[in-house]
Amino acid sequence: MIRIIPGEWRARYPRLIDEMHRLRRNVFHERLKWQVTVINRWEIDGYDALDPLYVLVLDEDERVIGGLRLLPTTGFNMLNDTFPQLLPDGARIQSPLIWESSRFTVRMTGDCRADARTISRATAELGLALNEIGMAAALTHIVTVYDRAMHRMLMRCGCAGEPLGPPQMIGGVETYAVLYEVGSEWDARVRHLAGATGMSLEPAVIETMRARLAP
Amino acid sequence: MGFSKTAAVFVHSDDFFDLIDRLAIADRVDSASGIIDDFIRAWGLHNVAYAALNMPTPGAARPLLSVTYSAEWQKHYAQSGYVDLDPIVRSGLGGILPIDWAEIDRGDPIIRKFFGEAQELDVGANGLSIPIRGRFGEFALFTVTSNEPAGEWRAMKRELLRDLMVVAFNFHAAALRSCGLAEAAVHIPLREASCLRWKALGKTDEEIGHILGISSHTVRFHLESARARLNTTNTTHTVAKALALGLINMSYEPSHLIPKKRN
Repeated sequence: MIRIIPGEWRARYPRLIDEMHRLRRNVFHERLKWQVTVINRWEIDGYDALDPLYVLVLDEDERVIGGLRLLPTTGFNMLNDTFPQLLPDGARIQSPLIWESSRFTVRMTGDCRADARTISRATAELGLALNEIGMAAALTHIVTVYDRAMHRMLMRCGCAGEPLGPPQMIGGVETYAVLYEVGSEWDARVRHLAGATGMSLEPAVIETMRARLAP
Repeated sequence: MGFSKTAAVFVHSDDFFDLIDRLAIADRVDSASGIIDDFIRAWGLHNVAYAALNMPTPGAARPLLSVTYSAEWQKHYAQSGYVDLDPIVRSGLGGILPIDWAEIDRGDPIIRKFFGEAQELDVGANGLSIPIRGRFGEFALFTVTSNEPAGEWRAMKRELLRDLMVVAFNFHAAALRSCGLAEAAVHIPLREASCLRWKALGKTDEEIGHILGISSHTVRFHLESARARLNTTNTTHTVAKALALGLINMSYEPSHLIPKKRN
């Protein structure tokens, strides 16, 4: 199941936020050994301080098993402000209809095979949720930065984004900036991939997004 | 469709792009306000309110405001200190998701009173607020209101949202310019931008030529110039890159409004 948490309301969801940051530490710091900031048991950076929109995927016991965060490209974001070398000629991505997804994480579980042309259920749920949020917010695209390993995995299942420029070495990691088009094609492709393994997916819980809580 | 047919014609034509182009060179909030007036009328909207916080200029202690709300509401809002309890400001300024006022919980009697008074002072029965985040770390909120019945409002909102987000962003850019903040822009010529926008909406070269009043040969010339300028390999790639770099803004076009192919 999917939970959407506006960053400015993180204090209402302490357990989910805690699990998210710890999962990010497990993945980015311990497993992938990226140059990320770790504070106690959390991976957390300056972009978290900007109150992104967190999108989390939970298992049946409501534990966080994956997530990502969204930031508008009109404000501070990773591509413009941390990885500008991925864009040509000092250009900035600045569109009200494009958001950036970052810190895409899914916990490795038994149902994930490294060479498969398929994706895990949690990855599929997160991918679908991202597209649904995009459609509900009338976006045209989602932009994201990812590494070569992710790019190759996504290419294998036909889910790679459109590169915005040649990849660059950043912190020892070959890094890509890519663009995804929001819409029915994305949805169909992810559902097709998930369907190929015989999984059935619940529709992403976008009602969470619609239920504005009282301030 | 319950909303004005004029709106559909307005926004699904080159008029919308003209509006954006005019906003793109406005450098005063009052001019920006005038420029969007046709857009507001065409959609049958009631009030428009723009508020920006923490603009990066010296002495920007107070929010920058441009609102069409009644003087009585503005006075009542200020005197009651409503900025501290306004649920739209609290949800929206600094947020990311658009806010439909209908989704705000009115369980709290203070909130109910707030909305009740707003209605009495002609704020508008429905509202849609777009949070804006800017490249200087500033926040703004752009709101439109409407007095359409609930069903019509729901339908209208879906159609309106994308265009509104583009208008909101460009209005904010004009407000930034009014504070003396110039942008380092990567520009492409207007005609190239127009051709790319229509390509983004799935038009053929012939259709674009018809819309812009130029030959399809000239359309292809503009697309090729854009492709060379952006150093991309084909038109699809050019459109994607232009969108990503904010060089073109897009307007949503429902498929039933796309004209049939001419022979």
